[in-house]
Amino acid sequence: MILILSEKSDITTNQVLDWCIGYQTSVIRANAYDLKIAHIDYSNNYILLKYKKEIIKSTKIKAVWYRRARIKYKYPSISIENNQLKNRIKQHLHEEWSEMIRFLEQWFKNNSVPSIGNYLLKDRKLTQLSIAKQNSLHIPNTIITAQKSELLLFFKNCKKNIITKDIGCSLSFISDHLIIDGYTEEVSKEFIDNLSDTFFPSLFQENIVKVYELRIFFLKDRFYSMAIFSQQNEKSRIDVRKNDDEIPNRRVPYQLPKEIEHKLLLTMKKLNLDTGSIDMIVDTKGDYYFLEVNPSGQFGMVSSPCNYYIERTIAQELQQL
Amino acid sequence: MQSIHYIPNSLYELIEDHFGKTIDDIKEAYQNQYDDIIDEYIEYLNENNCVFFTDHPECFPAMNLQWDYPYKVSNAIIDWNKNSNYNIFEVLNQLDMLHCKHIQFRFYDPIEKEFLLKILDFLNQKESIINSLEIYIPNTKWIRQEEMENWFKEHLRISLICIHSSFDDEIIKITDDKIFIHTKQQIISSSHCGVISMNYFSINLKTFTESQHYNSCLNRKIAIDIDGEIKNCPSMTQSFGNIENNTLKQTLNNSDFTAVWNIPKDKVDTCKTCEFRYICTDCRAYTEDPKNLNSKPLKCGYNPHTNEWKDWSTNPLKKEAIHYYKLKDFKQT
Repeated sequence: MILILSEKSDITTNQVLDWCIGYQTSVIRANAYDLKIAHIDYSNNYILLKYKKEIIKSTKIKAVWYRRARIKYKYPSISIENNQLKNRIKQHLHEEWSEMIRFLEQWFKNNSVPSIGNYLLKDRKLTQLSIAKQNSLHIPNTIITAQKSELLLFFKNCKKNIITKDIGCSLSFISDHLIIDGYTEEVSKEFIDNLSDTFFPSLFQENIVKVYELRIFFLKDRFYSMAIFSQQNEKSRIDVRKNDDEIPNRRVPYQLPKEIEHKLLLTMKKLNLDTGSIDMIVDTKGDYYFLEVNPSGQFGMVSSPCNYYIERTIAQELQQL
Repeated sequence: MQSIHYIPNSLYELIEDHFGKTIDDIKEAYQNQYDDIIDEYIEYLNENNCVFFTDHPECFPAMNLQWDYPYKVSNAIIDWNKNSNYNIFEVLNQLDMLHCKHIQFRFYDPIEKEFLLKILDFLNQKESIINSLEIYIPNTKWIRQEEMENWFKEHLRISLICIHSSFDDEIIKITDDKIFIHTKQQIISSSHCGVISMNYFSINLKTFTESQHYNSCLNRKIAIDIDGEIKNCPSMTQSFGNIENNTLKQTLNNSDFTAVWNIPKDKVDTCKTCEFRYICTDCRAYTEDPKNLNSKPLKCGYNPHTNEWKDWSTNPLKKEAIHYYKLKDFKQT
């Protein structure tokens, strides 16, 4: 039996599931709240998992795909007046639950259950950039600063062409009246002038003048690359996610030079990632810049325009693990 | 967003033979005799965003035009008229087990509202994998515009409702992928089907790739006609047995049944030279030569050699086939 850990809204998981079912692979898809630890048997080294109404023995699971989202728990409401204490208890419950889940993930690892993806280690942008650099990939000049003066100097050194983006994940906030999505944004001189002398530490990067961007899905040593001509549309020039349908960006299959693939492979190995969605850009000189890798990124947007059938490959891979 | 551009044969040759070369190299290949025309061609392609310029053509491999689908069957047509008495729920049961996701119901005669609701509830309670339903029904007393529009919200599987034999022609877009149609056309038997028209062109990668390898109408399709006969399409004469004593699964394992899936446009007379062959629909039920399985669709009025669309139903060359299929009363709409 194959275990897919995902979230309800992930369409990519549905598509991979279709292939799994087509191949008659026995598979369970557990979204955020679907899985619980029912029992740990220390004498015989197995865990009983509660999946919806079923009980599944961990030794029955032959492969795991860590697609997206960790297993979650709906915490009970706490009737304590003291808000400080209440929050501390909530936090503690969350830590307790996280430890259980970490244990489960570790159990699969320690018992050599093959997998695609990984929730245990997650080096984010900052580490990724340094590891990419160590493997002789170009990265844009990058600083994290809280000082206006330092930012101004960086701005000057980058030929007055810089951007800012999140250090961790991009912010996403949805409420009834307000939707905020964190994008990569250009930073102008006016914007810097209006900043106070110190501010919250933020990431700034040299804005590489790009010819096109690359989205590269990596799976077990193989690269599925796509070029996006984001410069045709003013809206997608800085952040391709802002693209609209009016002037759709050309998205075509791309073959990375072998040398770049090799450097990326070393980077992914060092990051302990067997899969992920890599962002790169190619500048006017034809140089390749590594931006970041999302370990559980979307690949449907690469698979369908390039006709790669990555979803089918993943189903085949899961079956063969 | 998707569009088609007509190009002359000479430009086709230029693209095929000189893909990835520099403009200078292309001009030279024609001994610099057609420099102006080549410039004009490149400008046309560039203006229409069909090409881009790069110093690294080796990084842009041609797209793999493979087509694949996880399940043996992807879509089904279920026909029903006042004399039908096969078990429609059993058909749905079997389709669900085969993971057939798209179903078209064609009701040729008025039906009870309760019958339709029972079908929808049946799929709902089953949590069926069937996720898109197209429903063709004749205009009936119980049909109320508002109520029907609400159905799209209450029954998320419904992707299209078409009220035929209606007073009006109207297309209402409920959402991007949900459509409500009124048509004056009387859809009273399966003989209405099979018309080839630019309106039915489907300009997308899925159709384009599927059409390279498989029949653009029948591939991964199964159908139940008004008598419960299992067919490739209700309009076709050959039955693979009645649903009362045969299963859809058995039928799909019959290589005679799936043989027509493997007739791409490249194997259809006339169509094989047509510029629309990978975006067009097909019809194997009504063909110009009823005895020839690779014959051109009868209800196609296009001539790819003259680039003209004409009314197929008045074409004297098609008279015999029209008579053969008893399509005389057919009124083109």
